[in-house]
Amino acid sequence: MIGKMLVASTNSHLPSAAGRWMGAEHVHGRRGTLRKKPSFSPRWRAALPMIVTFCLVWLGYLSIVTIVVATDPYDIYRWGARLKLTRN
Amino acid sequence: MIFIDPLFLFLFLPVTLIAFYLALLTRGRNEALLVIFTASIIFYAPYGISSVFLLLVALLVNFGVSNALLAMDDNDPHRRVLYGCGQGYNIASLCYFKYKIVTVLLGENSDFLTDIAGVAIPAGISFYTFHQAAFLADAYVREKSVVEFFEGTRSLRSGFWAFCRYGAFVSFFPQLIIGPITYLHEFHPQVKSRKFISFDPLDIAVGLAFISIGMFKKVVIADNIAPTVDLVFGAAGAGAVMDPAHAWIGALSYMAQLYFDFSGYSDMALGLARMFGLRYPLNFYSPFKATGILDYYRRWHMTLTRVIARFLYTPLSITGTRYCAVHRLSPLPTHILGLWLPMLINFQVLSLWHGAAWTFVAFGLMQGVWSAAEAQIRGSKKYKRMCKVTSPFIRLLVERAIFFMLICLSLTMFRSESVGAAFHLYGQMFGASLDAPSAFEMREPVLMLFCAFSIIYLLPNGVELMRRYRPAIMTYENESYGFAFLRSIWRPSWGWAAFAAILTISSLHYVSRQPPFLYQGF
Repeated sequence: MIGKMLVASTNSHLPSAAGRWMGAEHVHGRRGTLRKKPSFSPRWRAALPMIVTFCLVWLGYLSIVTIVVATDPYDIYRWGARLKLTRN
Repeated sequence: MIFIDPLFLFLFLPVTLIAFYLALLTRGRNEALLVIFTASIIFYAPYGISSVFLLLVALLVNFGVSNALLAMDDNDPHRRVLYGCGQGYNIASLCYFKYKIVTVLLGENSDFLTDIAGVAIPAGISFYTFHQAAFLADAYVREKSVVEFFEGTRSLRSGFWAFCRYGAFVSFFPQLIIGPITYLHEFHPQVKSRKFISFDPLDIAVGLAFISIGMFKKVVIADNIAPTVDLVFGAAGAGAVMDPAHAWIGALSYMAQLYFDFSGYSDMALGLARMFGLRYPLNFYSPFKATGILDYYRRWHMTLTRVIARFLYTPLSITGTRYCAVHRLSPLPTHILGLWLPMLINFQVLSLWHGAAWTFVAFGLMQGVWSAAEAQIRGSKKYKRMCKVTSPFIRLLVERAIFFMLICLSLTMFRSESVGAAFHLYGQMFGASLDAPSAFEMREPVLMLFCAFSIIYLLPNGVELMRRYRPAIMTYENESYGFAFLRSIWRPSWGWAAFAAILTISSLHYVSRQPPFLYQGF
């Protein structure tokens, strides 16, 4: 559906910013009229596995960093507390 | 910052990418290149404010001189002088800040001059200086893309944007510290193209794959081999005796460490540039698969080889050959002036580019003599006759074996702390102390070496793996010698994405130690 989406442009011979983001290009139709050829879908679909996987890695790493900084188990920051193991 | 720093990977890179694409798609090329320029300066800032200042001054000087060279008439006698001044500045800053020439000539107590030179060697100075020297030479000969680059820079505003474009070209962070050394005709047409102003998600996918492979090579392979190298070369530096097996393990480990360090960096640089929609020239292409030293330099640090060949070897060789032809000298002096001398000078400069040390002088001499001898042998009738009667496969094996042995010995010199330490290690390698006690447990280093050399010789390199997506500008045409059944092609599938994620996560496991790239020191 997104692939079929047409993007309006104020300039008749150039695609809009959002259009360029999706890779929209102006090509000549059969009768010489300008129509937009969105190439969003196939390229995005192809790149999706890599982008999704690395977004997960990125979020996972940032979450771990956030947890470690917030709990500060090694007492590096002002709010940290040294780990103590006591019986009972 | 360095590429394997989590701060760079998880914060700096995503923020820069978002800012770049926002600027590109909402404003235009110039603004996007301004984002790149600014981000590159931020990337460089942790190396020191004085380094940043020096970089900005070098940018301003080279930009100003290039602009003036293009504005001047070809017949203007001052044009040549100005070009000489521009190149003089580049050479002088390299001599002053990198080679500490003032300290060498005047001693450490010559006041002001040595005080400034006393700062640490600015990171990447050899790279960006060569980068700009090549640009200046292109401006002098009015290379087409340089002329186009400066077109319409008459007003202050257009001059500012031209400087930003130039700043992005020279200081773009994927290539600022360790190269590749790029020509403007490789950068400018890409920036000018219509494709540059669109966002291609496949660029991000290809870039991420390159970064994961490169980071694994550097952090997991090279850095785990490094302790063995430090141990053996440290012991050799102290004059300790060691078992020949240990000495060989140390020498081979350095080969593998240097290979994976530089290969990892080169892959990461290509990947990072690709994420911004740019392709950079290939700098590294399986150099240990070379069949000789001449082949090796078409695979190792290729962009430096081509710059030195263009500005030094070719002019020297042409001048020597022309001199011999004009004076009708016999074949021997013609060979000496047209081949041997240019090769020796070429490799001496190539070697001294890494730093001012006697080990580099010895390394350059070894490489120069080897290259000239190889060129002489390959050009001889005997060799050509032998090629006709021997099997290409056997020849390939023999040539590779000779190459491997000689490159191992010369890289030992390259890594050693002094020439004496290198010769001491050679002695240990060839059995000077057969009954020396064992210095370390050999099982793990041998296993690591086995894995490392299996990857080098059996698997495709990063560029071969990604060849479907044209990952780089080819610097030299190189033959691939890997087994055909092992030459797989990367695709952005879920399987390859999982593989890349595994490489990344295993690299992140080691990333906290963050040792710098070896070439950062050059």
